[in-house]
Amino acid sequence: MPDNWGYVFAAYGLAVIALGAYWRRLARRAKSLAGPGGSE
Amino acid sequence: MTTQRKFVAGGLVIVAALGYLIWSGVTQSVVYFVTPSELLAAPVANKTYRLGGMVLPGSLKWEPKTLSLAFTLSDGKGQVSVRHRGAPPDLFAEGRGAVVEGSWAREGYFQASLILAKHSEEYKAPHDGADPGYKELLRTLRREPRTDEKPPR
Amino acid sequence: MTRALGWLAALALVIGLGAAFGYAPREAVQGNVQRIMYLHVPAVLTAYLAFALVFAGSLGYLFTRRLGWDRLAVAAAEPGVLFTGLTIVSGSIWGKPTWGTWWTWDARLTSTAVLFLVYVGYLLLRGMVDEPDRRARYAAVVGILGAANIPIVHFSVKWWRALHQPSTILGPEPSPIAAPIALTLLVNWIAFTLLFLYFLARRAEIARLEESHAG
Repeated sequence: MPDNWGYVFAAYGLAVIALGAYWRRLARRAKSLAGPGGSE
Repeated sequence: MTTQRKFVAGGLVIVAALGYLIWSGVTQSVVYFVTPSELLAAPVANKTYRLGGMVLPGSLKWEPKTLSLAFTLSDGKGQVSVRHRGAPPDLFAEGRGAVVEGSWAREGYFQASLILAKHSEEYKAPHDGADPGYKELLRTLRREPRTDEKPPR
Repeated sequence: MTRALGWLAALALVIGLGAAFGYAPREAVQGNVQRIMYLHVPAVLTAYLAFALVFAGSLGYLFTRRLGWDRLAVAAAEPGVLFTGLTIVSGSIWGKPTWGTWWTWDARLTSTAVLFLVYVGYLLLRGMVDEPDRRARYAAVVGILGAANIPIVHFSVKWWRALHQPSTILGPEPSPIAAPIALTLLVNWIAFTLLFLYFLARRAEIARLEESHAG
C-alpha cells in the first residue's frame, strides 16, 4: 500500500484554507457592521 | 416583480433537482452496478455495463509488460471473467470488492475500460500494538521502509 | 461567550488534528490515506446538523413569523454549505487513490451533490429578495423542502447499490472499527461541531446587526 500522504495533506490543506477564509470573512463582516453604525 | 420571478426560477431548479433524484431512485437507473449473476441472466453484447462483485481469490493475473489484467468477479452465484488493459487502483486485490465499467464481449468475457476498487466499511489497525500515527509520519519524512509489511509485488 | 466558544473550537481542532496525524494508526487496508476520514466524516455530520437547524429555523419562522428563527436558518445554512463542500472535496481526494476515480455518479455522491446545490440555491434565493419578511418566507419553504434530502443522502448507501461504502458509525449495527480510529473520529466530530456552533453564533449576530441597520 503506497503512502499517499500527498492526498492527505491536500485534503487537510484545502480544509484549513476554506475554514480559515470563512472565519476571517465572518470577522470582517461583523467588524464592518459594528464599526460605522457605532452604537449597537 | 422581478424578484418574484427569480424566486420561481430558483424554486423550479430546486424542485427539478429533487424530482430528478426521486425519479432516478424509483426507476432503477440509480442502481450503480449489476452483479455477475444478473449480467449472466441476460447478457447483451457490446452494451455498456457497470459490473460489481468480489475478485475471486486465485483468479487475478497481471502482466506488467503488456499491462494486461485478468480476473474473475463473483457474487457467490455467478462468475464473470474480466479483462482490462492498464494498472488497477491501489486497493484492488483478490478477495475484495470491485466495480468495473465496460461491455460484454461476444466471446464470453467482460472487457473493462475502468476498474474501481470498492471499499468496505471496516477500519482496522495494521496489527495489535501498531505504531501510532506520528511514527508513520516520521518514517515517511525519513523515507524509511516499513517493517510490518511485505514488499510490493 | 462567542469568543470563548471560538477558542474552545480552535483548541478542539488542534487536538483533533493531533489525533488524526499523531495518534491514529495507519489503517490496515487503505494505508495513510484513510486519515482523510477524520475530516470527511465530521464534515458531513456537521453539515447534517446545520441543515437540520435550517429546517428547524424555517419551521419556526413559518409558525411564529419571528425573524429570529430566520436568522437561525441563514446562520446555519452558510456553514452547512461550507461543510458540505468540504465533504465533497475531501471525499473526492480520498476517492482517487482508493477507488481509482475522483468522482462517479453513484447514489451517495449524486445525492450529496444535490444536497450541496439545493442549499447553494437557498443562499442565492436569499440574495435575490431584499424585503426581510418575504425573504424569510420564501427561504423557509426551501429550507423545509431541502431537508428531505438529508435522509436521502444518509440512507442512499443502504437503499441503493452504490460504490460508496455503507455507514460505519451511524449504520444500523456498528461495523468493526478499531478503537483508536473511532476515538479520533469522535474527537474530530466534537471539534467540528464546536467550530460550527461558533460560526453559527457569529453569523446570527451579523444577521441581527444587518436587520438593526436596515430597520
